[in-house]
Amino acid sequence: MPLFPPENAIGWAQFALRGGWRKTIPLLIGYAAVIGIAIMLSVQFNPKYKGDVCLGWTTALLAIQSALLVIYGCSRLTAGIRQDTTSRLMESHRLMPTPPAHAVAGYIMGGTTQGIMLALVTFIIGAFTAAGASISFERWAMANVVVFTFAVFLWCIAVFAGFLPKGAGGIIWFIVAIPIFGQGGAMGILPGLTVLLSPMIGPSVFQFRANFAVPWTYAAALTAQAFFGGICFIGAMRKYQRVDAPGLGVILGLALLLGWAGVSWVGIRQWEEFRPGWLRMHMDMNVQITASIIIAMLIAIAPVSAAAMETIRWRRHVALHDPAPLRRPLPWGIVILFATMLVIAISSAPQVRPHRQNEAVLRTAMVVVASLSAIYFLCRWCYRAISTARFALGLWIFFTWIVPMMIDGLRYAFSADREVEPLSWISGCGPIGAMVSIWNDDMRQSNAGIVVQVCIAAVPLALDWMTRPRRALPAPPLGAAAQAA
Amino acid sequence: MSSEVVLEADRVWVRFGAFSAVQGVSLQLRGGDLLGLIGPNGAGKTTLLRALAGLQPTTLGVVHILGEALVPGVSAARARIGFTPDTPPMYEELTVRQFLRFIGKGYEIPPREAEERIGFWLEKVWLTEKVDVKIKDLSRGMRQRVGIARTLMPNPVVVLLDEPSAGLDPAGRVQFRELLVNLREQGKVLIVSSHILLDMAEYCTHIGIMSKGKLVRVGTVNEISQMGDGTRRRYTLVLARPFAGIDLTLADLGPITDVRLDTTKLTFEYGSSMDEAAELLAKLIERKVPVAAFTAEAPGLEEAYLRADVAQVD
Repeated sequence: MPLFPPENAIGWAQFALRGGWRKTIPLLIGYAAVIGIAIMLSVQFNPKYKGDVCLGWTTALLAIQSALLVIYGCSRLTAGIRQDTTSRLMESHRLMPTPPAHAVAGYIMGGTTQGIMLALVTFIIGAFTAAGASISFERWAMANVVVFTFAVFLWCIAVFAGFLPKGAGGIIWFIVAIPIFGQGGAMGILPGLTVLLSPMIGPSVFQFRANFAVPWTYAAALTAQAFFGGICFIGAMRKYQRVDAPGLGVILGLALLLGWAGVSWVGIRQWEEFRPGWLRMHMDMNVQITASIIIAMLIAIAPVSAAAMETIRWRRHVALHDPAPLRRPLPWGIVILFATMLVIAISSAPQVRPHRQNEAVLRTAMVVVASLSAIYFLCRWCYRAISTARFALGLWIFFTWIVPMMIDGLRYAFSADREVEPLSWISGCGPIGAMVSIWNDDMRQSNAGIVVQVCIAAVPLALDWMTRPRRALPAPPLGAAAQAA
Repeated sequence: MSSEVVLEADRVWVRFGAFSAVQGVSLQLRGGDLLGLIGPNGAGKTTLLRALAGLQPTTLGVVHILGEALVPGVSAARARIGFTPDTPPMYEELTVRQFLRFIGKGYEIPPREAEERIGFWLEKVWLTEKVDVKIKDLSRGMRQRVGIARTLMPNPVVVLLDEPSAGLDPAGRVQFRELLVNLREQGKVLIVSSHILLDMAEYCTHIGIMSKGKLVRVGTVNEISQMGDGTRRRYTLVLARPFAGIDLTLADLGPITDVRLDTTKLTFEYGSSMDEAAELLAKLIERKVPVAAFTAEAPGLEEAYLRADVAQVD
């Protein structure tokens, strides 16, 4: 099956469900007429400021372009996949000889065709307004290419989120809304996110009057977007293929972590190159490292929990002498080792080595290993009895990562004496607090916390050990039919 | 009937958490076999069909289609399977023709051939005049027929139908039976789950009885129908008028069991030989029971199903 509609069945159906050409052509004509008339009227009423009016329209059209491609495109995509999943049409598709890559491409192409068509009309109209504002066609086209590539990156995330439980679409809002509502704060402490968003927010494509040369950071950002988009695309393929497969298995999860470590490393090291012009506040590099490491640890949960699920499945199949045995999963130690190496790699980003860096790295590694091991054994214990570990994981992270910080917060809030340190050894009992202490050059305070974390990590290990199956089960008997045969 | 095994299930288990919906089902079907799956609600029929179609990931076990294992993501074997669930999923906003064109594209059927097949199958399921009607405007029975057309359009080797005649009217059911027999004769493997046992006895070659996730009985229709000890059978007695104390009278006549009385109609179990039947009738007349009709039932699927002592699921 070819990748693009109309030959791509899923793409064709997604487009046909939105009325196909019969609805799209009148929509395009109506849209072009409304925008065209509005532009002509505004020029007519301000003939003296024709250039400024055209510049205003060009900027507005690029904003419309972004909204069409990003918001409209993503919402159509996710809705189309969810509708097919809930109506069980996805199962009908799975029976077709459609390669998963083509199916996912079909959802992307079909779901966004109307948005792309509208964007194309906007592009053509914008080319005229840009000419009216003395903006070169290349500049206008380049701005559109940047917006389009960013939209494709988000579509890949949206298509993956469509296959995940409801609420996963929040990832997109996290990426899009953080720069808008965080007023730069979140981007300042997460340079990796800044790298991903830099073409849209850095030396901005929206500033048509500014002298503009394509910076090298665009290439870095586009590479990162392609990498993350590719992971999400493959994740969507996996979910399309098999409904019970983890979206990101061990390898893809580690790849995602590698990507995050990579963009964070580049972002921290080249912060001045990626920093948006409007973000004036000074950013402490240690804060950036801490925040990036904490996000990396959260991402590392994906490969670690997938490793636990694969191990349990594999052991069950072996124990029951399955006629279709599974491939042996990667040993958990290797997964945690790789994940830890990737997480601590972020700390090597600064060009100037922070004070006592080696000690900080060693402590960070201990915290990461303890946290990820605990999560691995907790997931393994859960998967032995039930098909999901989401609830247990949520509780675990709340109690072991967040509660220590909350206790310190309360202690600080209720202390009469404001000279009390906001973070004590209690925060250090959780990975977040420990990271803050370690990278705040307050190693001493993390000592007790690390010991406590190692002890806490032993709890899921003990649970897993106590509930492990003691011996292999005998092979199940053949079914009645085979016996009859 | 072909000797080649088309569909083979080897120890298929499907578990949802601690609950086993299908437990170690193994079966082999050859071209021309039409297996009817019967069992109470919740016995695991639908889950088994979905597992055989490769839609329900199996906890253990493997399904082979023409010797090729059905592995998630590998589509070659799946394309040989047609599956119609009890409520076939469809794009409501598309017309019947658009939906079937979509199926044609999905199976990479050349457009001209797809149009021919659409015409052919819509005629087979008596929907030719609804070709340009939106699916959302069709009745349940019509949707069921579109679902069957969708399943058969790619010409699958294995056809799995879950409660296919549930939404069909009586005439539709008769035509559907003919269609199934026709497909069977083409050498396809069919598995049909249904509660209408009378229909199944007519078109199935094999019957499988499922209970609590297990395939407790499987065999040809004759084998299943005659399952039991063979010494007893069910009789129907119609009275000309209500007869007081008929149950006591019957109790006096010998080992009569499982009596069901409905004013003037009784059914019960008694010895299966013709001599025993004649002797019983003579005794009834001797005791002045107003017998209007006396029938010895031929062993049937319904009977076999009841004898299988299949537990109902609460």
